[in-house]
Formats: sequence, C-alpha cells, structure tokens
Amino acid sequence: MFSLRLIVLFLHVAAVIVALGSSLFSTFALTPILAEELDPAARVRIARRVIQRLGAIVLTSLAVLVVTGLLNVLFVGGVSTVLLIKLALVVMVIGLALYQYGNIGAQIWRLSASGPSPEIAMLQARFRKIGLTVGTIVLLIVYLSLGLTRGADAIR
Amino acid sequence: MRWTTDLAFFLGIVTTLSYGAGGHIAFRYLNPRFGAWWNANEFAMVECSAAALGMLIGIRLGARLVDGLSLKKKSSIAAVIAGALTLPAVANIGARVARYRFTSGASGKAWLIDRFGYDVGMFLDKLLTAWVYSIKIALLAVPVGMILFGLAIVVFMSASEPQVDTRQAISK
Repeated sequence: MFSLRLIVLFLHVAAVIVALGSSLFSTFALTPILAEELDPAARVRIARRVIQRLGAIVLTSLAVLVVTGLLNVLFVGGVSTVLLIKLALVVMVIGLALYQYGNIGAQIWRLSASGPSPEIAMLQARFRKIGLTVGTIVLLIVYLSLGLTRGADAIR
Repeated sequence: MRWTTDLAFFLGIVTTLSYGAGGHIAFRYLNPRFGAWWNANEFAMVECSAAALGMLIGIRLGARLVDGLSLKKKSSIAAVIAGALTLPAVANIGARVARYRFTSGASGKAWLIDRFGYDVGMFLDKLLTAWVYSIKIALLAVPVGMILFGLAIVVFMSASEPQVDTRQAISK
C-alpha cells in the first residue's frame, strides 16, 4: 500500500496534474477573466505576477516529473519504443516550457515594468499559444503513459 | 561552460575507448599501480563523464532558449553547480536504465563478426557496446540538465522582483 514504487508513481501523476492543470487554468480561466474584468494597467500588473508564479509551479512540477519518471523506468525494469517516444516528448515539453517562461515570460516581465504596450499583448498571445502546445503534448504523454501501463490490458 | 563540456566530452571519449578496447592493459604496462587503479575506476568514469556530458548539453540547450544575458549566465552557473552535486545520483540511475536492452543487439554482433571475422568482430562489438552504453547515459541525462537549468531560472526569476511600481510608471 505504501511502497516506494507507489509513492514515486503518485508523485509522477501529481506532477502531471499540477503542470497541466495550472497551464489550462491560466489559459482558459484566468486570462479571459482578466481581459474582461480589469483595465489594461491592472491586467499587466497581475499578468506579470501570474507568469512568475506559474513559471515556478510548472517548471518545478516538470522537475518532479523527470526525476520520478527516471525512477519509474527503474521500477518498470525495461525500455520500450513507446517509452523512448515519451522521453523525446518530455525533452520537447521541457524545451518549450523553458522558452515559454525563460524567454517570452522574461520579455513580458521586462517590458511590463513600464506599463501596457502592444508588444506585450503580442507576447502574451504567443505565451498562451506555447502554453496550449505544451498542454497538448503533455496530454499525449499521458496517453502514452497509459499505453505503457495499461496498454496490454486494454488490447485483451 | 564550453570548457567543462569539452572536458566531459574528452573524458567520455578516452574512458569509453579505454573500457571498450581494454586500455587498462597499456596503462598497466607503463605503470602497474596506475593501471590497476584505472581498471578499477574506468567504468565509473565512463558513467560519470557520460552523465556529466548529457547534463551539460541539457543546460546549454536550456540556456539557448532563454532571453536575457544576465539571467542566462547566472542560471547556467547555478545549474552546473547543481549538476555537479547531483552527478553521482544521475550517473547511477542513468547507468541502471542504460543497462536495459533497447534492442537485442544480436544482429549487430552477427554483422560485425560476419564482416570483420571473429576476433576483430568481437573486439568491435565490445567497443560498440561501450559506446552505446555511454550514449544512452548521456541521452538520459539531457532532460535532467534542462530541468536543472529550469529550476535555476525559477529561483532567479523569483528573486529578481524589480523595485518598480507599475502603477507609478503607468500614471506617469
């Protein structure tokens, strides 16, 4: 019930939920509401704080995901083609998340210090687009994970 | 960064070649004590240099994706230090995962023996196995390096809250 394997798997799944959930919440709930309810100045102020917090949450949960993922491979005791595809997608997700928060997020952070501007709006649109791409790839990774653990049962 | 990557790459090549080709015999011939030490540690050096190379490539890949020279520099240094601290663990886990067979490997061995004869084929097969093992460890360490860089970014971005009041800037 409380084996190391189960705890590692729990942390792995929890990290996916946190990374994906926070990205989806920001894209589909927070950002549209901010656009409707707040004036541009307040929106930029809140957006820059959200980017910082969200970056910390998403990148930290990706770190947990990588560490627990490697431990999970040890527990599974083998490497399949599906797992290799999953690993390649994980590298892609980390790269995109780094670009999203470390590049576009940092640019928004820097530019927004002097108030709203059209450039920030463009960057925010790009930020959302990359966030959606990350979310889609994470969903694909989740599907592949299910294929790895339940695939054989599902086929029967 | 470049210097450390080159060093890890060089060490990786030397130790993998030595392990694959039984280079400890040459060292034993020149200096028996050093040869014995080299033989006892070369496998660990293969694992550690491959993991270090993978992590450094990951950190450098991450740095390429980030905007702002100062943030990039600070995060890279912090990630390299974190990478050095986690190197034994990453090398250990990477090595254990790398031991799993991705393919049977039998066809490669058969082809090498077929092509070069038994003695040379067996030698080349051992060399190839050492290279594949090393490359697998390095590839597994790449995401670890990237995510260490990501964590360093998180720390520095969270710490660098600019002392600018946005409201004042907007009202101006």
